Amino acid sequence: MSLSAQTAEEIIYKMEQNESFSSIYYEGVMSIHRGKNRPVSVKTFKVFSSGKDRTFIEFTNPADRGTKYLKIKDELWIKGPYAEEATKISGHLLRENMAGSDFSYEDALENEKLLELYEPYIEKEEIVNERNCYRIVLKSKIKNISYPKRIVWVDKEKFFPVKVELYALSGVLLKEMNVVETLDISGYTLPVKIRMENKQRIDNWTFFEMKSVKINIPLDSKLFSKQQLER
Amino acid sequence: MKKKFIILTAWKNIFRNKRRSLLSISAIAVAVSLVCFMKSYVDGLMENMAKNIFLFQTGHVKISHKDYEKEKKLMPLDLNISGFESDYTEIVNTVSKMSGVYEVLPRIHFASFIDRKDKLKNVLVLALDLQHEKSLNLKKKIIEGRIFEEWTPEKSNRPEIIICKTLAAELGVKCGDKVTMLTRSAEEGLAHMTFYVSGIVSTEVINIDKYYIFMPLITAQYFLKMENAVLEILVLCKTKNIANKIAFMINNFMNLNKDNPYIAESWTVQNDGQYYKILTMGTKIYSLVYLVFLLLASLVIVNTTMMTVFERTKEIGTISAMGMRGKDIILLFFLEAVFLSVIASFIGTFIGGAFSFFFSRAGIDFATLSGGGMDFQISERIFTTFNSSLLVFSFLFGIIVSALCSFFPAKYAAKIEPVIAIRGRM
Repeated sequence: MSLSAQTAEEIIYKMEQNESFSSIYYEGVMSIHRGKNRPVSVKTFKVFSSGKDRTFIEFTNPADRGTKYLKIKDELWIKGPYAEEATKISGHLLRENMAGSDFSYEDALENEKLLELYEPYIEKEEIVNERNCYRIVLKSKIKNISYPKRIVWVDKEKFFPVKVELYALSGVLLKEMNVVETLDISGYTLPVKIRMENKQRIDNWTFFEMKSVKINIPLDSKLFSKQQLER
Repeated sequence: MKKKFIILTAWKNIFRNKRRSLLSISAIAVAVSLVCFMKSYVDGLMENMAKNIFLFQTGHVKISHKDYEKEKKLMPLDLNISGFESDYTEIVNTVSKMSGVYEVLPRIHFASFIDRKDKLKNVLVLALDLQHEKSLNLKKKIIEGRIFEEWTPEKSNRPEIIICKTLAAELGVKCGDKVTMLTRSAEEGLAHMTFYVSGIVSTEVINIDKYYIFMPLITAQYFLKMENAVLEILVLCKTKNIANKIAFMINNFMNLNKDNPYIAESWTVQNDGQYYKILTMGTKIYSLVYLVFLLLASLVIVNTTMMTVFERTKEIGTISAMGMRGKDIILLFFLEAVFLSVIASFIGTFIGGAFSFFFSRAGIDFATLSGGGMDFQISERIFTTFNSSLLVFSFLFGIIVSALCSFFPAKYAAKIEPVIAIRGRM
């Protein structure tokens, strides 16, 4: 018997529709916490994204200034400030932490629709982070996926992910993401402050913040080219 | 007088059956020469392996962050040595002044990818400060091009590296070419940079030449975002036997600082004593092999001495009946065997020593011998050791083992009953 009038597929679809703007620009800040004995590192960057397929990121903090990433469909390219050519990041490198944060490159740049990868079902409804949520379990339909199981708490009212748990095939909890703050912009509810916690390492978490957010703005298509990256 | 008679008789006896004596002498000589050569080869091999392990892997003592070894698989470059007050050089300078310390080598060892035509190839990089690296002497090992120049973002030159010859051939890289490297930085993000190949180097160590790239320490510090820090400090002592003492002294010095995060470990305990086990086990296994060689040859001695006893049964009976005591008979046969083994050992040591001497100069092409597939820190060319102790060892070893083996047939001869022996029945 269904717990809700809506199916899990419909809820996930609505949640993804909430992120389906044609383009977005924002300035990101990541505070990376690597345990009690290590200093917090702060990374700043600019993100330009057109649809789900094309993203360009440029780091602006002093230590990483000039490091750029370009995602075109399934391909991700990197160019360091002292590199003369871009390198395609592939295979297990995509599972590395992006700029040392707790977001992997795959986390940051995933473009597949969840419903293409997972079979969802509503487990229950509950209050999480003071929001009424659907607790939806997603089990992967395909093999060789970074997180074979996800549990997503979707806000019942605004359909954004309030909390996400990412699991390994063994059932071990790998990461936990909590949305701390959202921004209502042009009819979309966008999570703009997120805490991503690495559950495999003690006291390892990243606080991600989006500033100066602009959506559905015109972006020059030249920005998403390898030539531009290597300039 | 009686002893002199026995010695003289034993000496004369070895000429009674020249063919039999020749057989014994040649068997022992072959065994001793093999033992002599094998010992010099094994000593050379172990010495070479130890030298390479100390130089590239462990030092005699290695200083690192206490937590690095635990997380080594994750390659945590942030668990590095950045010193106590200023930077890592304060440790380098203090350790350099300790008595018994020969060389102090600050280094960063890391794995990286090289982008070659959109395919990523795994390589290992050793970043080092040439001012400290006397033993490695990289400049002398350049076979093409020149040594790298140090680079920092403030300098106008280009970042340079040198690549080992086998790896360069595999990557299809020549001097002047550029390669772009991708690795995880000390901040755990990706580091990405283009380097120019200033030279091709041959360390002549098989698995170093296969996987390694050398980079200036300061360049690597910028590349990996670990300015003023190194991953490890290797310490080479005047002799490896004082490694534990030096490690103790370094730890004492570092522990003067509250919450010291670093540890100095002697090579014997690093990696759960793995390197120590490899070296000691290797020596033991090879020692066993050449002991077996000698024992096999000694069986020939036992055999020929037994043959002598059987052939001379009547003679033994006669001399016993004439009053020669058992211990004199033992001595007679024993001395006969000793004379044979002295001659044989001399010849064997001479032949084995000559081969050892030759290969201690010319070397043995180990890469060809092993098919090049060895994944140990062994050089392509192994030089056998040649010294007086090798010759003395081989000579004495031959005599002692052979003489001991002849003791039992000699004892058997002494037990023969005179009456039965004279009748020719035993």
